[in-house]
Amino acid sequence: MLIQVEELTKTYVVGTEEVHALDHVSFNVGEGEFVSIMGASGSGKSTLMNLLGCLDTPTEGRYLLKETDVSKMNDEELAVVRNREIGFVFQVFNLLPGLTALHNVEVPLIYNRVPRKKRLEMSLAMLKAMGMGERAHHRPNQLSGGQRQRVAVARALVNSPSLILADEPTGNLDSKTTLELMELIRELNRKGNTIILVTHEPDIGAMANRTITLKDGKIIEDINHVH
Amino acid sequence: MFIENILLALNSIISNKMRSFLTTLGILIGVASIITVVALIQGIFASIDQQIQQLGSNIISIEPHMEVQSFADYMNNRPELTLTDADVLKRSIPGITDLAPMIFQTSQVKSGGKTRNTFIYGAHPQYQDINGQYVEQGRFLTDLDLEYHRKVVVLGQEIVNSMKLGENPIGKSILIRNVPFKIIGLMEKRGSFFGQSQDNYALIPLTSALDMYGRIAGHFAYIQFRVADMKQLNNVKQQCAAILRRRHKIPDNKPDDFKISTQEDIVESFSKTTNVITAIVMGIVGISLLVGGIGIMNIMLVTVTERTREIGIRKAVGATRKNILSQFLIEAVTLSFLGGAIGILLGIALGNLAAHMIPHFPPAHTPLWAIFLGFGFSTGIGILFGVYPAGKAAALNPIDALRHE
Ligand SMILES: Nc1ncnc2c1ncn2[C@@H]1O[C@H](COP(=O)(O)OP(=O)(O)OP(=O)(O)O)[C@@H](O)[C@H]1O
Ligand SMILES: [Mg+2]
Repeated sequence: MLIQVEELTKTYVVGTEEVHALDHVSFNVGEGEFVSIMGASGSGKSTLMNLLGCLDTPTEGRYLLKETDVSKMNDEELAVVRNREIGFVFQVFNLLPGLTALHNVEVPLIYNRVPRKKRLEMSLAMLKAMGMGERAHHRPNQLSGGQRQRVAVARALVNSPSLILADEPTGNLDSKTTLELMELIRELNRKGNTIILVTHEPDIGAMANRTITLKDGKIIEDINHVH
Repeated sequence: MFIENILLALNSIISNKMRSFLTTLGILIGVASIITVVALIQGIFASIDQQIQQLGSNIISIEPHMEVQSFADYMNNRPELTLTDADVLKRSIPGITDLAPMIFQTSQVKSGGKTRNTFIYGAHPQYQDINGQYVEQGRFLTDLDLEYHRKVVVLGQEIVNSMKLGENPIGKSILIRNVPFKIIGLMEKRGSFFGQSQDNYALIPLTSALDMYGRIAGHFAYIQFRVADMKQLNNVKQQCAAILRRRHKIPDNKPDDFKISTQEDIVESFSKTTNVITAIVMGIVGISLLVGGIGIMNIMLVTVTERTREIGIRKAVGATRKNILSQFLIEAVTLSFLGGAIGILLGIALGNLAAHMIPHFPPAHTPLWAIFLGFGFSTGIGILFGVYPAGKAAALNPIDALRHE
């Protein structure tokens, strides 16, 4: 199993009130799966993704990535996991505005201590694979939304992570670009990448092999799709 | 990683040119003023040092001297040196050559209705060789002038000019303390120091000076002589001290009432003064650098807040605390280092410019240590005031940083 989640819980305390953003959630994800996560706004989708992406730490429960308990890791170890094992694609792209597409893709490789020449080769190859070879030297503000998200996907993939997490990656894209990006993501999955994707739209959710639905921080449905 | 961080820092500095400039302005001004001041002071010192060195290193001078406890004490026991002291030294110590006792006083000189205060040296014919300053027109004082207590005078050029004595003053006479003296020679120019002319002086025979000033002159006496053999310098110094103590009847438990110094001593005490002055100036400038450092810290803190999002993104793709810490620290240091570098160049330029613009100022001299110090200071300030903002950036939690609006 690539991912084992047991009783994972995240509780926020706001003033005197407790918000159970994630409430004792358990599930597994195998290698090569394509899982979509759905649910109403505020149901805990992003909270779950942030925990899976090691951007946040759970209040309770265990999270095993490749049989290793991530919840017990320190800051430094988590940074390494984020760098090598996880590629995160955000709804708001989260590219660095001062850097060109190429240098944005390069960032994870820098922290992975890949030599400069190799880094630039790998980044350019990845941008080309995303159909962004022509735009390598453009800054994010010189790119369209769909192009920015492709750069972000290239950045997520460049370290060949075990897991790709995408939190509403199509949320800021029009329908045509959404379809193009989804085609790209399915292609990645066909090539063997494990993908977990959050979406509001049932059409998109149904493109995955499996859909987990959340409500008030709990899993209310976990179904497989047959295509 | 280090090089990446420097490139990152440069990138960030260049993309915010104006702000980077303003941020580092404090450091820039601080370093520039250190370098300017040090260059000017060192220029002065270099020129003084050169003047001292010119005199030669085998000269010993002796002057009356005491550790003053109080003014009354001083007035009651004013130390003096006499001509007999000088004679005895010359006769008792074989290595002494060119012995020239001298007294100096300030007095009024008058000529053609003009008056002026000037230094009067009661000098010896050896004065020229010992001081390395020679007569330019006419002749110098001779042994006969001294023997016959002649009322003759050799003038420094400043007096000739300011008293309007004309093209060829030799043969004319001037009044010193209302006594007429015949002008027999003109000294070569010594130049000026800090705009202060060094040529406002008059040399008269030592014997005539003693006639005029009487015993009081002994308090302002100087004995200078050459030691033929350099190796004997310390030996001669000790012999002089022993003889003078005996002659002045100083008990063993009392200090000397004179001071014997060689050129080396003068250079040494001079460089001590140099160092003290330099240290004081550096202290003052250090404060301004500190202010510059606080400026850097302030802007770096703003930068960290502004770039919280960037920090979040970097952490999300695998930056460790250490990565972020060194990125921001290196940025602060790069900024202050650049400020320091520009400051050094500016300081050298300003030092030279100032030395040119101020009349009679010796050329500026920027020592290498000042440049290293400038770099060291600015880098140190960068580290000192960069650590806190960088630490703040590094400690951010990735998800909180990403959510930052
Ligand atoms: N930092 C926080 N402090 C307090 N409460 C929070 C915090 N982050 C999230 N929550 C709460 O946790 C719950 C789940 O939030 P989450 O962002 O996971 O929802 P979501 O499913 O991603 O919603 P959306 O579809 O709108 O993105 C919400 O009720 C939210 O208000
Ligand atoms: Mg969300």
